[in-house]
Amino acid sequence: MHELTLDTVSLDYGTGNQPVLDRVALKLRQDEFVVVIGRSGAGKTSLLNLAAGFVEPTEGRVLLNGKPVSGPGQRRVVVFQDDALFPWLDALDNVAFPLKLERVGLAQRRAEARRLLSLVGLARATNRRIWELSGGMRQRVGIARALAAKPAFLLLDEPLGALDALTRSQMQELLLDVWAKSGVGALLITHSIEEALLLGTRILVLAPGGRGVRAEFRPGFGRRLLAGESAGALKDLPEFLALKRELVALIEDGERTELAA
Amino acid sequence: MTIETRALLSHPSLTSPEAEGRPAPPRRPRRKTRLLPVLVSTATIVSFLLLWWLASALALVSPVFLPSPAAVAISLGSLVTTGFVDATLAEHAAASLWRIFGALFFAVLIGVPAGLVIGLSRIGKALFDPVVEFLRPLPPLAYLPLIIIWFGIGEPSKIIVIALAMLPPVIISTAAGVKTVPKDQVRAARSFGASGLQVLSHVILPNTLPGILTGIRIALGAGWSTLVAAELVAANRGLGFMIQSASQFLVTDVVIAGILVIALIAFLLEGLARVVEARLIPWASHRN
Repeated sequence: MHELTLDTVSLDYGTGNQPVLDRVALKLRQDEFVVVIGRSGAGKTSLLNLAAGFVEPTEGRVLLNGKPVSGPGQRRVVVFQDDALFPWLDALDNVAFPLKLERVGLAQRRAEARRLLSLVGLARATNRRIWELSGGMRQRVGIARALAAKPAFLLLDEPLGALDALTRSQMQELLLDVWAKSGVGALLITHSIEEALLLGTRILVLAPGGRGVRAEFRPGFGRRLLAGESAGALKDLPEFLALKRELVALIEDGERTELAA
Repeated sequence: MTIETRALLSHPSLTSPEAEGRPAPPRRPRRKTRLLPVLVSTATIVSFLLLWWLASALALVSPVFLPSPAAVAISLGSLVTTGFVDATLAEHAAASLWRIFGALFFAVLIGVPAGLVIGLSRIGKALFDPVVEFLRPLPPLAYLPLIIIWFGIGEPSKIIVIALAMLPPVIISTAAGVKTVPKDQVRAARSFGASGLQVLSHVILPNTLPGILTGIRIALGAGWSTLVAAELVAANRGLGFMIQSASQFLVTDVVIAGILVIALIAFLLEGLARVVEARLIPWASHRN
């Protein structure tokens, strides 16, 4: 069981302003789907960039299985909001890209890429050019490509943020399904409270101004969704609505506190 | 996968852009609309030829300065069959094309790595920028005498002069291409464990290819502009040399024929560049 730890990390960009993250601690296990929510400027993306190794903390350490890591690495792969696919490659070769870097043979890497595309429901889109795919399909290629790197953790930087409501709802279920099947830990950044409640095994609410985790919740709706309950029905449950109200209040209250300060 | 998820995956919104509310690909314009620009361009050329023909037919300009279109056409025919100054039109064109493509080879060989260095590193930019900014505004005729002093009057000096004119557009376009590389693509590759060299070859170079091809197109234009100057120096073949020789003897029909041939070749090369672009980088116009 892999474990990713942000050990009291701080981050500032040397601009003289207050740090974007100030002594934030986070532990993520491989069997978890952790969702981070908070207002803009709370440091959600900075937190993910630290976990991915794209930026180094000015204080604190990033640990993988207890050992300090620096820079990006295959154990922590990112799925981006704008998909970051390579338009000169078709869907199959985009997914096979991480395996190409590892010098896996052509036939073997394409077979694996086909398997992963099937996992995300794109078995028939292997030879499609990236620009021929819809936004939802592109994100699914991005998820399959990330899985090809055999990561321990998927770091999801608002991957569903640019999708329309219907596609987003479908992709949420797909994401949960892929997480359950692939056995990777997930860290999702999102602005959507409903998305956080539906997917997260744990929700972290970030305080404004990068002051760290303000509250933590462990909703169980994701497991129920995986068990076959419908998202619509779950969203109508009194406990779902109550938790949603609580999260909204927490985020709004955090913002008021910051404005007052 | 749950039954619901499976059902959702087959939903049309996940398989077609239109169902997601994204705009459908633009429909092909109607035949009439597509023909219009071609007709307008043809009309421009025909009007130009008509004005030229009228000016010579009405003897508005002396044939020494402006021979008729028919005289130029006859001259073209004779250039193809018997040639001018000891070489046929094909031999002159081949000599010029060899110089142009020889120069392009060196311009790409030096310009692409230099552009990559400028685009990727601030130190590289500081190193190469003064050279580019020094070369870019200089007319080739200004440094031609120096090249002759250094490299003599042989073929190398001609190719060097053309290559120097081609170098800045290749460097500048390559460097500009590097700037268009999406940061998330580089980050994605790095998180997959790509080394610096793998990021360069698998992410930066493919992204820069549209910029490099644009640079080559601009460089070809600069090369043709420099060709006539380069072929002034002790050449005995080449379209520029042919035009220069004809102008010295006031054989204006050959001068105009030579100009038209250069324009035609440049036009064909531009068409070839577009075909290469469509083959190599069909994705460029769909880039975010």
